[in-house]
Amino acid sequence: MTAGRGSRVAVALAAMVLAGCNEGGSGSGSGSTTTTVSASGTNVAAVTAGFGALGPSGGYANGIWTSVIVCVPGSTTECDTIPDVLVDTGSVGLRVLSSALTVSLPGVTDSSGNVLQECIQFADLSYMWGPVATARIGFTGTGETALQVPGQAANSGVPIQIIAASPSATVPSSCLAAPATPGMTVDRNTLESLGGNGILGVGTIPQDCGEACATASYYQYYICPNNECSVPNVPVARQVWNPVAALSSSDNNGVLITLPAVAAGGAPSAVGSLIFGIGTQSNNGIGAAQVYETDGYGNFPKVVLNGATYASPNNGSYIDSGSTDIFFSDAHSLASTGIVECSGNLAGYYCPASVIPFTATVFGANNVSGPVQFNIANALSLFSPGYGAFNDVGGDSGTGPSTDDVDLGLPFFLGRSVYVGIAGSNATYPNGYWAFQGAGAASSTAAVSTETGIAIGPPKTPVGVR
Amino acid sequence: MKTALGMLPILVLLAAPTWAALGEYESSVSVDRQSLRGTDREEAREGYRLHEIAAADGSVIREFVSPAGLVFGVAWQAARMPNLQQLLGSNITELQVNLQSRTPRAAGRGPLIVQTPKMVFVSGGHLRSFHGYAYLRGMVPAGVNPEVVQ
Repeated sequence: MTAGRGSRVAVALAAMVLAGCNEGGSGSGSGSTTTTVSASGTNVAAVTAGFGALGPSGGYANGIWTSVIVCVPGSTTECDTIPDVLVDTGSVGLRVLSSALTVSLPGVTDSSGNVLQECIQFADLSYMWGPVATARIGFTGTGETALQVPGQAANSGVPIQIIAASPSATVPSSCLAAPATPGMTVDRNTLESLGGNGILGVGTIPQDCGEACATASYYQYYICPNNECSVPNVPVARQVWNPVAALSSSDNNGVLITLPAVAAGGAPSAVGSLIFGIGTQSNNGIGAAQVYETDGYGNFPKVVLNGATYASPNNGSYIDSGSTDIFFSDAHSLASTGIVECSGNLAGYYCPASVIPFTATVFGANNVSGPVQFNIANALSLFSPGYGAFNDVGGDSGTGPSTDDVDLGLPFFLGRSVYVGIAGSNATYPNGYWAFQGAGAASSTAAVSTETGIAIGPPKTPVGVR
Repeated sequence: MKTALGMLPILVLLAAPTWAALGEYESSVSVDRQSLRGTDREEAREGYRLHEIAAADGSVIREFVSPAGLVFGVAWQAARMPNLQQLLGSNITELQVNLQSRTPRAAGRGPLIVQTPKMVFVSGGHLRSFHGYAYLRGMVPAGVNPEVVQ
């Protein structure tokens, strides 16, 4: 911890002017115990930022995990409670490993009885493949349920994807950005490769494809009779849905994720809340937070950082709780700030000699802009104690200005309340939106500095109340 | 759930269409346009030529062609990941060899950046907005900055 402590103090001094902005709260100034920020209400699910199902040995730090209840449509007894599901604001829809399910969910089929299959691909060349089924979706500790897609028959269920270790259809080559080669982990179809039991995509759109897949054929949904796959048009009601958009309550317009600030050296884990609805309850008001509408690609139209401009879509920048780090710019472009890349197994991470503060200016499609402050610490030092939650770990997003972007991953969420508004839920922001409050790392370190390591209590009012 | 879907299956050829793969001659670019059902735009630039293929789904693929007629770089901006087996051709093995040697930590959850003595590869973004590029260091024409590949 000595290296981490030194770094923390350095940042704390730099950030002292922000003392008093301790909105996110912090359970401990020592950084050695799990930090917690709590909210209460029937729309609040607990989330934990940390290692998830695989633990420290799995090497997957900075995930954000919750528990989801999956039932047969219309049933409250044929259910599985599925722990360690990644909360991902960068994707849409619930995807669950078949190995985590004991109940049998009805498949979404075409008129010939062929089960709809889906291929989801990620930028790191990984993919998920498996059938689409319907389920009643609930969230542990809440009163929230998604019984059916809006406009569909009562209790008909919400389409989810079952990620199949033993898929009912062979993965078509068009689902693979790169060939599946032994030893090259490109699939996320197992607990070991996924790091959890599933992904809860709560991004800014209501379905994972939308009109594009309803009116034209894309390599996303398939039917594969006799293992010969074709690509059908799929009505939006049959696509995998953002479970939030299908909630029966009025909390179906988005989510608010609150996580506590952690010390600059990290924390074993950080416990916070996934709060359903925005401005629908006493605990999810958006208050004075600046709203940033996304563009049609789900990006900030523009982000400016360290003199560089990142414009969507070629350099599309975004908020994504499913990204483990703040990936931004590249070590070469940031050399003047003191950023250097780590070596060896940590190549691609940033390993500066001291903690470096950054301020990005983010722009919304609603013609507003505002600052995002974050710090970057030495990844090698951060990872040494075996902690699972860091607000200051970062890495390259590309190799130069032509492909760089700014991906505000899980570190951005620590010490902030982040709102994710779903497209169509607010006529003022038709593309969907983000909003956030809290000062993130700066708040945390300032608090540690002023209190000289004395434990700081939780906020006196529920987070989000204004 | 036995209700009919009302889906209208459209059979498409899942056999791999031919792309102008990285490192190959540009003559296959016209084939790309057909397989993408998109529009093809060509632009002469200082020291190289740019082919831009805009597909019906809004995806844009750019291919950078040397004076010798070889594709030295490819770039994409697309709602879904492009088929890299087609875009990179035989250079996909550069990716495979590199990725097989990585540790789980390095795999991370974010962009993928691979730099080998032969090739630079970057893939970033998220569902609805992927972007990336690849170029072959040894094929970039003299006097051309590799950063033009974007």
